Amino acid sequence: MQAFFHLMRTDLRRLLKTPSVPLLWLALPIGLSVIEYGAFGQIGSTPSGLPKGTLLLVDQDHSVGAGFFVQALQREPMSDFMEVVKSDTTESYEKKLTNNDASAVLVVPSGFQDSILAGGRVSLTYIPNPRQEIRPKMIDASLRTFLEIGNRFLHEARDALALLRPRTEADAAPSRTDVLMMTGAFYDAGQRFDKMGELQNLDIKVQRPARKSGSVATSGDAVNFFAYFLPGLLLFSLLMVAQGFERRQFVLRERGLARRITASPVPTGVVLAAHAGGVLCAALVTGGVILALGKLFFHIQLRQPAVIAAALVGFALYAVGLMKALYGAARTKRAAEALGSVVVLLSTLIGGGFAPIEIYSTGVRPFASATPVGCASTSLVNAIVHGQSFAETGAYVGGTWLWALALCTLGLTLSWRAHARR
Amino acid sequence: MRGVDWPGAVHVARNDLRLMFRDRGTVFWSFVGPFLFVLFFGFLFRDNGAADKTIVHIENQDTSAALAHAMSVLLKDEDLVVKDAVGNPDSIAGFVLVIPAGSADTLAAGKMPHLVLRTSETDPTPREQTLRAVLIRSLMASFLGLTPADVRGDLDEAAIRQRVKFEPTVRLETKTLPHAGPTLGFQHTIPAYLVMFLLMTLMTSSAEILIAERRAGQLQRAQVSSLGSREILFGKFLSRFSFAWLQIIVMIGMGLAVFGVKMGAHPEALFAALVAFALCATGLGLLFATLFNHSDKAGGVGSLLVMGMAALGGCWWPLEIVPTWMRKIAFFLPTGWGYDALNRVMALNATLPQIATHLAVLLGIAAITLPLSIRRLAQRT
Repeated sequence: MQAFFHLMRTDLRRLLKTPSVPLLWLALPIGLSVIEYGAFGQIGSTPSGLPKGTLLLVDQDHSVGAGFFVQALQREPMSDFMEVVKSDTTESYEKKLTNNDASAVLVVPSGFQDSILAGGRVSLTYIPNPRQEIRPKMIDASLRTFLEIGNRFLHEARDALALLRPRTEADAAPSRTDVLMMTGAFYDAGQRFDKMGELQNLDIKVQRPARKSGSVATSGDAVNFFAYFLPGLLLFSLLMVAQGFERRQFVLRERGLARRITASPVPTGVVLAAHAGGVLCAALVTGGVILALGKLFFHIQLRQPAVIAAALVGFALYAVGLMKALYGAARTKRAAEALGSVVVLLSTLIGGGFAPIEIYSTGVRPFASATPVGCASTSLVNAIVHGQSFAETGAYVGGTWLWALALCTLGLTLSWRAHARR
Repeated sequence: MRGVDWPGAVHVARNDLRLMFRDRGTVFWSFVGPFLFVLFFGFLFRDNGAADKTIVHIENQDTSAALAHAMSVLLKDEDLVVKDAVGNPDSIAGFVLVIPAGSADTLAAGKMPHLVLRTSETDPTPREQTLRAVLIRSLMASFLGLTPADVRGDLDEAAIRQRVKFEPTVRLETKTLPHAGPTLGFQHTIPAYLVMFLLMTLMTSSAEILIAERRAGQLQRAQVSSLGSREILFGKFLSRFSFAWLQIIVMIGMGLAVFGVKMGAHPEALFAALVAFALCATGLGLLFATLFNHSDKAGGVGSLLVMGMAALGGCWWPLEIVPTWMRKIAFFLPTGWGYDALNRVMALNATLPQIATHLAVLLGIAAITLPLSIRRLAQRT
């Protein structure tokens, strides 16, 4: 036991002699966390729960009517879906769109107010930004609903407006009969508007699946989307740390350190276990630091700590076993690194390390969740994001541990063989 | 390049290329890794186009079928796929529009019925937002158009349309700017991962090779031979620039042959953007190699920097979904300028003058980094 702790301590001390290495291992997940939080941290904080688009409004009419129209777009509920920015008509809106300054352009043509008062048709031009996909569609849908309501009002008031129109152009004052007819028409329109007043109750409630335990991870009132990404980054970092450690060990092996240790009376099992213990400690410390940073700086609640701890330890063991297997099987450092890169990349890609499994198509999800990274990432997402307990997500935690045991057995066997070779 | 012994420089370049190809990790991260990334993220975020219409199941809990029928007709007119919710409605994945009992009576009384959209998603999605807007429009049209007699009768499709449709005063006409195609899926991943992996190779693997050579004194030994430092440095530049072009050819070829990516209407603009970015990346890679004494550290820092720059530059996700301040950061980075130039050319058919600023910035970076790196490299060897 003394030899075990001595070797483990020596390994860690050797690592800390070059502090830039562990700092670099931490810099990768922390740096990427900051960027991803910047990108997705605010999603969910808008009333619609989705990012707002910018609508560039080109008013070529400059009339009172066009002004009212623009103001209506800038008020709730439209302001929940878009930010309206008025643009000078002389500016090239095409350039603004290609520069990604707006999600879409809406052109109110000159003669807008006159056409409406004259009972004619008028067309607004909507130009979506071809470089964007989501926001232009959302703005388009909101605008069409808004215009539908406006058109309904205009439709109901059409008789009254038709009577009013000639009076605005006539030189003489209206007669008693004209006034009576107009007021009658507006009264009738008012009666119909009564029904339209009910439009304030127009709403379609959205019913979502009930969450089994707790609620979704939130930051303030908003859903914390970053909570979906943190587990992937965490798992990727553990793999990187384990690979970094094993790479250093391989170099030491090439320099003859393993041979010198073999000459000592310490059993091979203790040597290998001590090294694996050192890697495990470093991986767990890295995992702990990332989770702590997630909680402190990115407001992620670490619910179900037992599930998180079990998944973290299980995956750290898997990472240790995997790297032991890869570097134990390899004859050269170059071969080990090439193989390690392939395995890390593929397993992280498929297992939801770079994008949460929940956004994969339903056909791919079961396969992705069964991979080692998939099991661990699903356990962590279920615990952190959905607050699921051991009973609910235990299958994935169990899967992580099964992978860990299999890879640790394989890794230690191959390392034993490599150690014995020397 | 007067005074350069070309055969000597080419010999150095060929030797460097041989070293790069001998390293399986470099080959993997330059050609295989990008393919896997393009394939995976291209499929994950691909545009399904018209084939991927929104499907809505209608669950009518009302005794009258009038409102369900009217909603079905109007939703079909909005290009949605409408199906009846059969079996256990709770087991249906996707969207279910629930028409509660008594909705027709509520409508006949001049009151708004309270319809519910049931979804299997736990969080809002853009598709749901768009669907909700369509549902609100259709409900409003039914509410205003159908009379009390209509909701108790049995109207056919033509009669429903006649009741609820009217000639709108203000129309919304959509005008589409000329462009090659949507910047989703492979149309995004090909230029994005071309930019990322090209920079990754030059700032990690090739930088590591240069540092290892310098540390082993191989560069100094080479200077003792008939090759001058000019030939060696030019050879280093040539090898990296050539390797970058090999990556470009593979990625573009893959985009054209495997994924059917459009390359825009102006090949000269595409060529100029690729040359400018390859020069910029070569300059950055060479300069980066002069900043480190240990190849492992250079590799680690290089990976971190490239991944950060790729994410911030719009290579990982479309910049439309990030806040404005993050979009501005993209244009302080070579990845942002490189990806934006390629995206404009490939997706928006941009011409050479339209990407002139991009070319100027990328060539400007190359004009600073290349002489600086050659000077530093000469000093350090």
